[in-house]
Amino acid sequence: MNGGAVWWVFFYALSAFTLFNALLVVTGKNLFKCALHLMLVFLGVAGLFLLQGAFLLAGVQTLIYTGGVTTLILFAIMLSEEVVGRQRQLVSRGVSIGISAAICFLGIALTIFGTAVAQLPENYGVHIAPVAQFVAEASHLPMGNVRAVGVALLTQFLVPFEFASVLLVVAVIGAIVIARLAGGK
Amino acid sequence: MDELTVLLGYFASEMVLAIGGIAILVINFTSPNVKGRYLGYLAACTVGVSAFIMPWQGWFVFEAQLVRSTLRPFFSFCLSPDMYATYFKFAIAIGMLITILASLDYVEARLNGVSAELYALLCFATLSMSFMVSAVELITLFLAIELTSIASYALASLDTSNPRSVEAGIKYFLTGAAATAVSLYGMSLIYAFSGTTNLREILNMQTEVGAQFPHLILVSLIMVMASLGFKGALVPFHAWAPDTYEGAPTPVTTFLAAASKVAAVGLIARFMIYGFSESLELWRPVISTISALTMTVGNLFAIPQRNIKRMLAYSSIAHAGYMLIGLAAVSQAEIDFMMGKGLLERTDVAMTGFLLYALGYAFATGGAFTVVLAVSHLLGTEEIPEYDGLSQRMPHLAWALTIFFLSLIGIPPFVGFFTKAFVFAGAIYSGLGWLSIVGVLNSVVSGYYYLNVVRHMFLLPPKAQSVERTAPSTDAALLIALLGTVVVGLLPNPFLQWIRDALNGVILMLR
Amino acid sequence: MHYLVLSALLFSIGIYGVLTRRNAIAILMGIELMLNAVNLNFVAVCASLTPNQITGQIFAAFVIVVAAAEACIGFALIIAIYRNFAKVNVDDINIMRW
Repeated sequence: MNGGAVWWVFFYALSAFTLFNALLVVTGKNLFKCALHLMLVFLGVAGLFLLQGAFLLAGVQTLIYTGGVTTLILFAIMLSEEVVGRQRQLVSRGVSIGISAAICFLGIALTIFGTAVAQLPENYGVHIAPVAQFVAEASHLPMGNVRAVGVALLTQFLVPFEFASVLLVVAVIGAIVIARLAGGK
Repeated sequence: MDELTVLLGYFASEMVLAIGGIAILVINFTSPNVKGRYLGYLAACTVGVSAFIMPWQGWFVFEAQLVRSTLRPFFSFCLSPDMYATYFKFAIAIGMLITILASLDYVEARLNGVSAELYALLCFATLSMSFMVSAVELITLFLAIELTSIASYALASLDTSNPRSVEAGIKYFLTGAAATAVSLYGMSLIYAFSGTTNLREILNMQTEVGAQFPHLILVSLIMVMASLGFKGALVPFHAWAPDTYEGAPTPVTTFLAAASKVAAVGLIARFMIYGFSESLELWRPVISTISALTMTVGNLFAIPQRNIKRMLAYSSIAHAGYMLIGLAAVSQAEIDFMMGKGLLERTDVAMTGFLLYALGYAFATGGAFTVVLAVSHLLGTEEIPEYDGLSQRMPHLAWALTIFFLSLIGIPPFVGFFTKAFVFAGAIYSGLGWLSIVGVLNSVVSGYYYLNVVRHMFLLPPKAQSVERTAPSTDAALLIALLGTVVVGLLPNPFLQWIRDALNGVILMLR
Repeated sequence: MHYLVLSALLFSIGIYGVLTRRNAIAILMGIELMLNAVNLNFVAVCASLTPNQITGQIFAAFVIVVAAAEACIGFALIIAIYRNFAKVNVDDINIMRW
């Protein structure tokens, strides 16, 4: 995956961009600006997907997150403002608990990565999953490829794929029922 | 048997549920004049038919093993509708059937505008819960948990004109979404050390790679437990439960307590045993701690409650704790039996108790909430002091509630006695004597607040003299719950045989 | 490995956001950060450990789908909350004891 120096330059630039914007999302004072920074985080993550060769996923991320979820958030902010455009001041409470929980998690995660994940043999997952073998053979193309994702979705992951459609139906019904005007049908 | 038959058999009960849910929505859309009540009957029929199909489905899938099929490997990679799953699906469907029958009156009176959506969402929730207990693959499992959650969020806040219902919804949603994110991180760690999402392959990888990194497995399991524990309202993740149970419309509370929790514990047991039995000694302390905490916190907080929904919320938290004793006390012989090797000894009763507990709990809690729903509909109250003298006003409700409570305490001859006896005995045989002591003490404590309600109903004078009649649908729900509570208690043998088949059937779905 | 550290950092920023924010919308933004961190994990693990499979990317795709569905429900709930309470601060939404 590592394509030399250029790859690393891109990786560090995108990481710094993503983390910087993520920090602004959780510390910013203006909810509207936070949402815009969140959009930049989504874009940064999409870039990081590209670096790993996950092209389809980068596209999906851009469309759904940057396009869809951000718009939803902006709508929610505007619909829950008393006066549109008034700056909503955000307060953060329990900062010490938040910081300690975050550091705690980070410590555990890094310890695990240092001791366990780093020692896992490279490509050790190659020999497993006979079903996945079929998918790999059927696609005959390097990973990250749209065709490989398509083949996997319609064979190995057919059940979750179909199931996701039920999930979307339920989410739409649920959202409509909750957001309707109470009293009016 | 041809390929199509096999596939239909795989998804028979789920297809019934999906068709039923969509039919309710379509009927409501095309002919808005159809009464909500009839949609409720349709939903009850759907769930009832699927409950009737489920036990046969397990046998069918067993037979279909022998049929060659090109598509089946892809299904059995993700789903295993084996007899373990069908047992839990049956318990869930029974819980849902009681829920729907009991809530017809309540919904007609208070939620008439959204009855179609309510019944449709209940059908879809049943569908997703049956996927929850049959999923053997992380993506399917995750989607099933999420679909159940999303349906529950929407159901909990269905009464949008009532601030309490909306508050219940947002609390449930925020905790749930955070728990999902944490458990997804855990799943990504599992994927990192195993390279696969199929539970069976994860189990194989543990013997190869995972054994070197016990803390990696432990941390990922604990993180995944965030979401599973959230669905089952186990103690570190239970904060949402009392408020949501109290604030949500009572039919939804019934669904959350009687069905959703059963699905969650069924899922936890399958996840731990099917995917992580190689790491048994790692998670046994975690599960037994959670179990002890859940029982104790649930019972202690239930004592001072005056709202009966809130009291039953805490009591149902406690019951999830008792059930987990069975999982914490699972013995190696039982795991081998579930993996298709060896036989059960006389002492291997922990998992039997676990499964029987799930069924008995669904009957008794569903029944208790049926009474709560009926009283709430007829008298318009959910406060325990208002239950004074219920035995004179509506004697059958009072007697039924007493039986359900006696079963929940664990008094013979009701089913609750056998279930508790099994899990406590299992704990003792597995060397977890302290856990069964905690359990027995908790049962004694729980007797206090259950019998307090009984005291209100039988010993205190009624505040009003009016005598109300319950609807036939409520009586039907009560009858189902009573039959389950009493018959399974008096004649447990056929059920024990079924449970034995269910345990042995976990493994049937090998490729 | 670098990806895993990056995602752990992003995830802990998300945890911080969820724990310290009082506005329901801001809490949801923190949760979205956490979900993005998880997706980075899946994609990185998929690429480095199981290069001939695509499972991690599929998982990430499903996470995106579910996150969108969840956000849809969440913001509908927030609108309902706003209609009932005229504010979206979780501290103020407290008729029942928390």
